[in-house]
Amino acid sequence: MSYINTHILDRELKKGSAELLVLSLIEKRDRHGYEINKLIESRSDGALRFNVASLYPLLYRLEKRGWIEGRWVEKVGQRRRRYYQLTADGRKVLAAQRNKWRDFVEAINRIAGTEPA
Amino acid sequence: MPEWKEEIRRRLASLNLAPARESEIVEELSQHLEDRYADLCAGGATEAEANRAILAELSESELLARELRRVEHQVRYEPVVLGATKHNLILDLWQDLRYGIRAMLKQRGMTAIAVLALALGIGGNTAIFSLVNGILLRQLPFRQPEQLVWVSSRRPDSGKRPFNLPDFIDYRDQNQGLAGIAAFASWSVTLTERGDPERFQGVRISANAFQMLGVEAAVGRTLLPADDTPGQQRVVVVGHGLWQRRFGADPQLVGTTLTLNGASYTVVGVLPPQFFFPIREAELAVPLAPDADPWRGVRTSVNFLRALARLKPGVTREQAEADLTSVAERLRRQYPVANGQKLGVTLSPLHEEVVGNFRLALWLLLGAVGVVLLITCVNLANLALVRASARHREMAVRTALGATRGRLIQQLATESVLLALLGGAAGLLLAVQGIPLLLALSPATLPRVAEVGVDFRVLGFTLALSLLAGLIFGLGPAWQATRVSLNEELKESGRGTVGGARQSRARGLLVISEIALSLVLLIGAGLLVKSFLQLQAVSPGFDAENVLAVRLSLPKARYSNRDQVTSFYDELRPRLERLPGVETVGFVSVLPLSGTLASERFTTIVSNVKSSEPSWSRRSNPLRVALRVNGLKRTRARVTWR
Repeated sequence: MSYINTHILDRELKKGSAELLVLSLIEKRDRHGYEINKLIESRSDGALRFNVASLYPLLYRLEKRGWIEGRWVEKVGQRRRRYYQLTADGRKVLAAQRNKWRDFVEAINRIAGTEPA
Repeated sequence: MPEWKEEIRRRLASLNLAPARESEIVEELSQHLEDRYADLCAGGATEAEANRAILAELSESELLARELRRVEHQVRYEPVVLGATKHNLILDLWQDLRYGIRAMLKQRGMTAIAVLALALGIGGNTAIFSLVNGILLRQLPFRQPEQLVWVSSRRPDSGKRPFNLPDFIDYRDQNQGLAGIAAFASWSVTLTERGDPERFQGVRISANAFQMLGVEAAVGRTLLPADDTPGQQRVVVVGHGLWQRRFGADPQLVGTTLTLNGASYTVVGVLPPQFFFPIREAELAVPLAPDADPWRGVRTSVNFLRALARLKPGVTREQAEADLTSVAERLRRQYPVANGQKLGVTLSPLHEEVVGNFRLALWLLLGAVGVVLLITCVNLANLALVRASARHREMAVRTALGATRGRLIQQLATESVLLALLGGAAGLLLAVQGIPLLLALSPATLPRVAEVGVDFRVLGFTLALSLLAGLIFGLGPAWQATRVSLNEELKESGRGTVGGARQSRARGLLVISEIALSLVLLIGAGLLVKSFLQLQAVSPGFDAENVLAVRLSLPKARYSNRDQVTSFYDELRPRLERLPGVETVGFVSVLPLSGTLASERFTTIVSNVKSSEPSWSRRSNPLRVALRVNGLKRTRARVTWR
C-alpha cells in the first residue's frame, strides 16, 4: 500500500502548504511569480517546486480572496512585471495558517514519533 | 528565444476570458517561461533541452486551463447549491433566469400549455385595455380638451335638451364665461353628379367650431368663422374616411365642387383621420350660418341644435353654467310663452358626453377579462403546485446545504415571472391581431374607435399585468414548496405520497377559489343574458313583423315648397299600394324607437308586406322600383327590413 499513500500524502501536503508558502515569501517584500517559484525551489533544496499550471492559478485565487494584491511594476532597465504583495487580510490569514501548521506539525511529530519521546 | 505567447493563448482559448484579462495572464505566464528557459540554458542545458522542458511544463496545460477556469469563472462554479450564498441581486437573478430557462426547456409540454393559457388571458386583457385606453383614458384629440364642455338646455323633464336657433344666438352673444360656443345639427345629404348618387350623414355646424376645438385640416383648411356670415359661397369640409372611401384620397378634391342635395358646394378641406364628428356616422360638414337662417327670429321654432363650448381660461364649469342660466332666466322673462319651460343650461365635460354609457360597460368588460386571467392564474398555480411537490426533495436538499427560504422563493418566483413574461409577449401578439376583430364586433355607436390601438400605456399595462400574473401564480406555490421540513419530507417521500397532505390542502383551496371565480363570471353572464331576453320580450306597442321601412330624402332643389313635397307623396302612396303583397302604406317623420331627431327632410315610408310574397327579397325590391318610376331615380333610398 505504501506506493499509493506516499504519493497521495506528498500531493496533499504540497496542496495544503502551498498557500502558506506563497504568503510567507511575500510577507517582507513584493515578489513576482517566477521569483516566488525559484525561492520555493531553492529554499527547499529542490524538494518543492511549482510549475506554471499550479502556481499562477494559486496566485490568482489568493488575489481573488483579497489576501494578496498583484500590480504591474516597471523598473528602470527591466521589462514590466507583475509583483504580488500581502494585503492586511492576507497578513491575518498568514498568521493563522502559520499557527495551524505549527500545531499540525507538532501533533504529527508527537504521533508519528519522528521526534524523541 | 522561442515565443511562448501564442502557445499559451491557444491553450487558454477554451476559457473565453475577457480580452484584457487574457493578455494580462498570457504576458505573465510567458515571462515566467522565458525566465525558466534562460535559467535552464544558463544551467548548461542546450536550447533543445530547455525547449523540451518548457513544453513538458506546458503540456500540463489541461491542468492550467482547468485551474484557471476555476479561479477566473469562480462565480459560475461556486454556487453549486442554488441559493446557498448571497452574492448580489443581479448575479442571483441571472443565475435564476438561466436555471428557469433550463427548467422550462426540460418540461416543454407544460411550458407550452402555461404560455398558451397566459397568452389568452393576458391577450384578452390587453385587447380590452386598449379599448379602455383609447376610449376612456386618452385625452380627446382637441386642444386643451379639459376646457371643452357639452351645452344643453335644461327643462323640467330633462337636463339635456337641444336649443333652437334664436336661443343659441342669444346664448352665443350674451354669455360671459365662454371662449367660444358652436352649435350643430344633423344634415342628410345626397351626393349626385359624381358617379352613383349616394346618401350620407352630414352635419351643419357653426363655422368657428374647428378653430374652437383646435383642429387642423389634413388637406386644405377647415371651416372658418367667416364661412358663417350671410352671403358667403357654399363650402364643405370632408371627413377623412369619406375622402378615402369615395374620393380615393385625392388631394385635388379640394377646390372642386360637389352637388349636395341639388346645390353646389366648394370643397375647402379634408379633416384629419382622428377627428370625429359630434354626430356619429357624419362624414362631412357645412357651415350652420345661423344668422342667415330664416328661422332665426322665430322663438317658437323647433329645438334641433346641440352645442359645444370652450370655457374661458380660469372660468369653472359651474361659473359658466350659472352665467348661461342667468341668460336663460332673462329669456324666460322676455318670452314667457316660447321659453317658459327652458329653466337653464347644463354644461357637462365633453369627454363624458363622448364616452357616455360606454364607461361602465368597458370597465365591466375589463373586470370580466381580469377575472378570466385570475382563473388562468389559479389554474397555473395548481400546475405549479404539482410541479413544486415533485421538486420538494430538491428544495429539501438545497435547504440542507444552506439555501435560505427567501432565496429559494426568489428563484421559484423568477421562474414563474419568466413564464408569465413569455405568456405576456404571446398575449400582446394575440391582442394586436385581435383588436381589429374586437372593433368589428363592437357596436357601431362605440366612440373614438380610430384611437384604439397599442401604445406605450398599453405596453406598460401588459408588462405590469404579466409581472403581476407571474407573482400571483408563482408566490403561493413557492411559499408552499419551500416550507421544507427534512424530517417530514423524508417521511412523506418514504410513504411514496406525492406532495403530502399540505399540498393537497393547498390544491383544494385553489380549486375552490377557481370555482368561486368562475361562478362570479357565470352569474354575471347569466344576468346579462337574462336582461337581454327581458329587453327582447318588452312589447314596443306596435307590431314590427313584416314591416318594411324606406328612408328617403327629396332634393330641396326640386322639392322646395310644401306643395311639391305633398304632391310627391300623394302620388307615391297609390303606386305603392298597388304593388303585389302590400297591404297598407304609411308615412312617418321619425321611426318609432329609432332615436332620430325630427328632421324636415326625412320621410319614412312604412309598408305592411305579406311575408308569403316571394318577390319581396332584399335584392330586388319593388319599393325601389316604384320610387324610380316616381321620378326619384337619382335619389338613393335606404331600404331596411324591420
